Amino acid sequence: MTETDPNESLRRVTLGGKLAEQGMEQLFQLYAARIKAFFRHHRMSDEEAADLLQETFIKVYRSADKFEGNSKVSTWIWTIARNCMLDYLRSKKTHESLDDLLEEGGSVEALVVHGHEDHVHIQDCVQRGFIAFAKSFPDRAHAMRLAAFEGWDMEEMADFLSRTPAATREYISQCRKKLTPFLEHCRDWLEA
Amino acid sequence: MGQEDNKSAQDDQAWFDALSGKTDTGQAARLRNMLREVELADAAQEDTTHDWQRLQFALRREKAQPSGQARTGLRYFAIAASVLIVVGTVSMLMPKGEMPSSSAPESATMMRGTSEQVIFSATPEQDAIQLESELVRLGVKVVKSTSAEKIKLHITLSYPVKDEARAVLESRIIPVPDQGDLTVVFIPTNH
Repeated sequence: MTETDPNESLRRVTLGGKLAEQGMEQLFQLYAARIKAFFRHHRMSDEEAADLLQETFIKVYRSADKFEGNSKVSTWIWTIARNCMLDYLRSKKTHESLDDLLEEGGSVEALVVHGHEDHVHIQDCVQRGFIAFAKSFPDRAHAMRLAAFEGWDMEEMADFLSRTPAATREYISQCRKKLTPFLEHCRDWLEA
Repeated sequence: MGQEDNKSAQDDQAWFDALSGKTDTGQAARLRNMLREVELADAAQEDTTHDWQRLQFALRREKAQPSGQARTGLRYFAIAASVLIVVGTVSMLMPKGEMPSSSAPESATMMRGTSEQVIFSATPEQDAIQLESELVRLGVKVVKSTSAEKIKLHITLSYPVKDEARAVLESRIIPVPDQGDLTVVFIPTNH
């Protein structure tokens, strides 16, 4: 099976017609489930996650011809998804600040509610530690997941977070520092 | 910057490089493998079938509408009028009750006996009011509700759906369900 190239998929979207539909379907298959999970981890309800997913892909469709290839397609799409969510959170004008929603004291349901307790590796100390970390720092946990999955460099992470390179370096540094206590008890893993 | 700060910055960079797969040693590399598993396992639990169907309808609307804010009342009227002409012509040429199924968009997703269609719009309130008034004028029962920024129109359809009501819906690329009621949800875009 050949792997879908997101660059080619996005190019098809710009061509219109059937090719655009194919391109959108490929991008949707590549990213939709993970983006929806991302919204849920940020305390979005089923309905909110579904609506934000729609809005994300509508924006991808509308802006496909503006993609200049300066970043990875994954960074571009994830940035759109994150911005959709941030715009939505701002529009809700909740009593919580955006930082509260994204950072400390985040979702107590993150990851766990989606069945990771049943995951085959749940007994693994590191995974448990990371799940606990994600409960407290959902935004940081997800940024780390994306770095790991998409292979982003610091610059791409900065694009996604809409931060300066220096602020991103500090963010990553804090991710590492904040994660450490959650993994401290994983002696075997640490010493391996 | 002191030596210690430099060392710390280098450690952070090395940690991040391993996390993102640029190097393949140490704890961060092992953490990376675990995170990739978590990411995939998490995605596998999301069912996006309904989301894809919704998106397909939304994309058809995108194709049917002029881009951006350029949609003027006149253009909107022109689209509606051309659909009306097509629908009217087809219904005149076809024997009663034999609309070709290929002319209808794919079946809408049924939820609890009601088909739901989502319309993203820069002017959701205006669009909802317009649709509501056109349908009410044709004797169709419409109940409007608002939650957060969404506007929902619950449309009670009686079958066979009148050609005029069908035309009103299809001019907005809203597929008419084969049975049951229809809910149209207008969601604001940030454009």
